[in-house]
Amino acid sequence: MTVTKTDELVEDYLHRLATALRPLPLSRRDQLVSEITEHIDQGRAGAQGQSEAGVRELLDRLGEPEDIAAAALSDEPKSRTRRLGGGLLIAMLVVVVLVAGFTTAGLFGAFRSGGGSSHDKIDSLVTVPNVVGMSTAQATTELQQNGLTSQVVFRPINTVPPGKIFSQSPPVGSKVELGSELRLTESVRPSTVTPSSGSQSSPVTSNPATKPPPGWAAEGLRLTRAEIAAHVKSSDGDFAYQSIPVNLTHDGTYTLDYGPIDNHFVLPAPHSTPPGKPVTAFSIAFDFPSDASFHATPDGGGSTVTLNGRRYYQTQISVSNVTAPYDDFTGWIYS
Amino acid sequence: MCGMVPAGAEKLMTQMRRGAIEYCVLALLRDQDRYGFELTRALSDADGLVTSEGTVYPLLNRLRRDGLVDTFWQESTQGPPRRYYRLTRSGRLALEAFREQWVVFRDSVDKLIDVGGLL
Repeated sequence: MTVTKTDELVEDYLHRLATALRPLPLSRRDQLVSEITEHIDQGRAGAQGQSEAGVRELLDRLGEPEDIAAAALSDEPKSRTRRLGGGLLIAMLVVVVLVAGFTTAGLFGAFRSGGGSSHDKIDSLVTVPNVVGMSTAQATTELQQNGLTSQVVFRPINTVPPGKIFSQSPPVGSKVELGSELRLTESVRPSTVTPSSGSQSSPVTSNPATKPPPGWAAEGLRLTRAEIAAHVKSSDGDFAYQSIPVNLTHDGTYTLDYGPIDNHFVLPAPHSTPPGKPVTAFSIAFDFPSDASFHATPDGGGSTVTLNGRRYYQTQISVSNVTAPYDDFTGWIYS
Repeated sequence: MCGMVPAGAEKLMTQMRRGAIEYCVLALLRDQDRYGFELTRALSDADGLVTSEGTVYPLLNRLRRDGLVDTFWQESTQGPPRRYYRLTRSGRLALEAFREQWVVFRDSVDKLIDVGGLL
């Protein structure tokens, strides 16, 4: 099948890219892999993506992954360049996205510094300011003045006027690398957000517009006490993320089965981890309007389990002080 | 004309291209916000500016770190949400400053080269 062949081409390309980018700091590397993945997805969504020849041309025009990595490395200040994937990073990171008041600075800092080997220089860290409640323009300026960048997502939120920042990630007080990107959620009027899933009567999974790209297919997040509303996009390399709307309303401990993880997706396996037990750094973020706290165990990461013949990444999470529903879940797997 | 370009000129062109391209990116964002695929296509369709579209992304990251460009997500009617790039105020100022100097430089070189050609 042509589809399988083109999927393989893309997967191979992204894998080469992720490998070539290893010397970069994790945040830069993730950023580039995401952007290139988006580029490929955008190209494949058009007429060019329909044939194998078209996909080959798409990748040819992107250029050799090694050239992209070389361009990225030449931009990187020497002291910030570090070797990643060496096996030191076996840490479960939990990032809870909250409005002002609750901080996960310690965890975030641990994650950031966890990627380097012992002789790395310490990155210049900045403290994340509060931008919740500001207009997007104000927030962007505020972040720029602190040496930070931002990406803005839009969501209709009844309790916050349109145009104002409803939430930020990481939260105020977190220590992050200079130049890091914050994710801001801007409130918009409901009608300005176009549903990406369309109105077909078929299941979301079969809608081409929301079909996950190859390599990493996730059909949903299973939480024993939560309902899954839908699923959305993902990307891969030896890096993957998935954002899923959920409706989690009660305190409790949940078994989180994240996936299914497509068999093509190679879970990163640090060399210090025994074979067959692919523990990875796995970060989880909840995006929700409350001051609840969140903890995932074990801290060293979960493990993969097979459920109904499919692979899932399994971990336990406990959530307390839930005062409003968690409505959005994002998980990442990093090597 | 002959197709041969002396090695020195080739090297100079490579360096000039490399230097100018970030301003071309800024220029493409002057009048409209663009998403990645659209932006890199526009650059590579401009003759000889970019041979590898992928290398534009490290550049975009640098421009963002320098505060000249920022990004936002926008839902798309076709496919997944898109990450759009837009000029910041400093980006706009940097572009304007470059444009002024570039026009002067270009005119001077053009003038000399044209005169040279007439000799």
